[in-house]
Amino acid sequence: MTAVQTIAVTTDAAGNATSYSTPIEGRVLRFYHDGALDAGADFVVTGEDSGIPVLTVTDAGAVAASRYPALQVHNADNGVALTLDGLHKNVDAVYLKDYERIKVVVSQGGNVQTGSLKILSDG
Amino acid sequence: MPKLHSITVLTDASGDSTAYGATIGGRVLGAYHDAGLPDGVIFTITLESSGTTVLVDNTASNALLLFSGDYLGLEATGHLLLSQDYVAQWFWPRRQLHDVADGAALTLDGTQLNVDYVWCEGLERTKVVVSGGGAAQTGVVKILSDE
Repeated sequence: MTAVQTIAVTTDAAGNATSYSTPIEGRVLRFYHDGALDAGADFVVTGEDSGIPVLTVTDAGAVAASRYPALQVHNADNGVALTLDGLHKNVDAVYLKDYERIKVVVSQGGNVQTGSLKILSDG
Repeated sequence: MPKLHSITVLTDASGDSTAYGATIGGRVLGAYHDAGLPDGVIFTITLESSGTTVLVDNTASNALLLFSGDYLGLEATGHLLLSQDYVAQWFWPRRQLHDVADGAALTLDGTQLNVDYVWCEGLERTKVVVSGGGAAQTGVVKILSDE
């Protein structure tokens, strides 16, 4: 059963903020932000303990959007990143370790701005 | 629920090391190495009892590009050293699938591999073999798996 959680983000005077989800299970299915930050806001989303990259978006603060993160997979035999056709990435869902929090780092989000994030996961 | 295991790799005077991780099961979802070992290191990660390859990463190796020919009217030969930065990296290893009808390795379009997860045979330890890792160096490998 999937679970969604809402995270409030308030930037400091420099436009930066770091927020955390509660621990999740399994895959990260969707990342949403409400578009309430400055247009130049950058988001870097990772697994708190593992450091697994979930999503990086830049200049994305002013438009509400949902994104569905997926990672490019690699050939086990040589570590080469795989494509579907030589151009388009062969991807899979992002898995985090069990009960890991998601860490969201915001920069350039504007002076003391408040926004809202939603994260959908397996559980 | 995915589990994350860390394996510390300590190389000997020859730059080699063999280390074992915790017992895992199900799918291998991801594999990571840090940048603790020098350029040129080769990681070979397998599942101990089945020998299944999880990941071979030799992409940090230096490559030598040889060239010869006529350049601006001058005959020239030489080489360029192409050095890829060795960085901490997550990999998401997958193995090529095979046709049940004839065992042929499957592709998406004749060239690109049709792949799926690396699966453990029951419960297995992960085995990490390092070569070219420099004398007495320490690195960290992480494995993300179903169990």
